[in-house]
Amino acid sequence: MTLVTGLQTLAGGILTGGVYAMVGIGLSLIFGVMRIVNFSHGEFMAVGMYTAYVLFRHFGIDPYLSLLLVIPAGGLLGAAVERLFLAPIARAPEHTAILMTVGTGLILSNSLLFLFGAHPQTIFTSYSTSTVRLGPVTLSVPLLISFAITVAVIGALGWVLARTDLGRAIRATAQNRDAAELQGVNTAFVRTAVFSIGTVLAMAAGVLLLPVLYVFPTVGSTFTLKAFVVTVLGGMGNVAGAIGGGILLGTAESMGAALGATGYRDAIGLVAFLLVLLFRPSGLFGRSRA
Amino acid sequence: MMLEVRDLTCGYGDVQVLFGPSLQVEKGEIVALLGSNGAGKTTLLRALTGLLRPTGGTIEFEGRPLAGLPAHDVVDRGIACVPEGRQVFPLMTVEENLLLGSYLPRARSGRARSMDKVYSVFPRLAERRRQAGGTLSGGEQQMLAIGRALMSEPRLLAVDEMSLGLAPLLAQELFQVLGEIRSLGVTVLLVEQNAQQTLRIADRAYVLESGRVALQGTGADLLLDDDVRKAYLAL
Ligand SMILES: Nc1ncnc2c1ncn2[C@@H]1O[C@H](COP(=O)(O)OP(=O)(O)OP(=O)(O)O)[C@@H](O)[C@H]1O
Ligand SMILES: [Mg+2]
Repeated sequence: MTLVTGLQTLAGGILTGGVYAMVGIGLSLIFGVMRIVNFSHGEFMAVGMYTAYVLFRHFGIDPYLSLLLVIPAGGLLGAAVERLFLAPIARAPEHTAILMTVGTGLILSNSLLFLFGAHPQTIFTSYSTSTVRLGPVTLSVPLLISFAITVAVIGALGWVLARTDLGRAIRATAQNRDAAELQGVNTAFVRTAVFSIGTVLAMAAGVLLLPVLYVFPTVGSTFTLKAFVVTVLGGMGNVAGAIGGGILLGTAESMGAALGATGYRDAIGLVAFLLVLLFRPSGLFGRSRA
Repeated sequence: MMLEVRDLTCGYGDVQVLFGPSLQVEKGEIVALLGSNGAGKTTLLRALTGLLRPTGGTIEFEGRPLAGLPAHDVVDRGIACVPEGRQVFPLMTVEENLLLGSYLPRARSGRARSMDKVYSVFPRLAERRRQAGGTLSGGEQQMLAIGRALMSEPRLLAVDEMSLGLAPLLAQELFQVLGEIRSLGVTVLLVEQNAQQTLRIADRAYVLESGRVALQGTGADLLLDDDVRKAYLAL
């Protein structure tokens, strides 16, 4: 591999990794606060993709513009799912929540199958295949836009978590639920809010990937897995670590593909995942909680 | 009457822990709750603060029923709690822990003033305001837990095992702080093992045994009571 293709691959990996990070952060936040591994996370991403797909195909709304609709819709959908399916089992044993999120995911992917059929679809925007040159490196315009939006979204979330009362309430609930209640934090509300935020992140990531990815009803399951890898790389429940995990996974995948292992793209992430579990079970980035 | 607990029953699943204790706290008092390990003191506080739902009996605070309210609403009514084991947020800074104490909308406006007050009572916390709660010493964590509780501008402060594991000198200092807190107009309900020091600052005390009130009286009376002296003062 020459230096230029190396740089090229690295840049592509980082851009994709940013979106992976966004998917992973949602999963990590939900795990940190609710102690639930959300097996329906990728399916919400698929719902986001299809929403943007429909808005583009039938109403001609640009996918990036459709975020203005998808974000509030995702917030409502996430809040409703949490209230209806997860809040009632908040104090049940852990495997109950696993079954519940797996079930939610199945309902979502099968609804998509019912509505849109099984075959992969894609959209072509005016900029789908356009690129910009940065020195010797060529970058895909949609991936660049997606990355910029990702950075903005993650930055906004980081600010909320670090600086606002809601953010402090979220972190406090993750660290000690009873103690948070004793400070006046309605932790049932925090759980709803966090699931809602996580769903928004997953659906927004889906929208951002639509211009560069085929969409089909089960596209989510791969992404649940990827999000899980990102989360474990970063340390379960460690939101900042998930950023590193996402970039790392994106880079590892594109490096692997550049080295000729195109067909093994998804396997590369899983190998990295197993290695981290073996040698750094609390994640690459130190501490294990939000 | 500020707080009136009547015939409270409560437990965990099938295990009943409280068998109908009743107790009262007048505005401005320091009331102590003593009892050996497992007597149900913490359980009573958890029921009072809404972390546990009582199975029977009543709790009235300032004339209004409390039992059944979730914990975050109980704080809003004016009861703050320093829980057993301090329970500071380990990954948040001292300052962030204090900010959480004033999370309630009604406490936010006075936030800066409350924080200054806490820092003036515990200058050690001011020095460590950027340090993570989990890295504080046990004594400092206790100060933080007390400071955090005061941030919600409570009218009743419930404190569980404040002196546990603290050096005698520091424990004594904190008992003095409780006295100061009372003189600022905050009523105190104090759960303790350290009966000697507790009974000295308490106006009245209850002794809990196996989930029932076994003895009650003024602090001075109980200090002289033979049973109390034998069981709790090791005299
Ligand atoms: N989460 C729980 N589940 C089941 N039983 C519990 C639980 N917490 C406490 N208990 C039981 O309830 C009883 C009373 O416990 P509690 O913590 O109220 O005692 P305590 O008076 O505070 O004791 P200590 O002085 O040791 O703190 C004990 O027998 C204890 O084993
Ligand atoms: Mg106790």
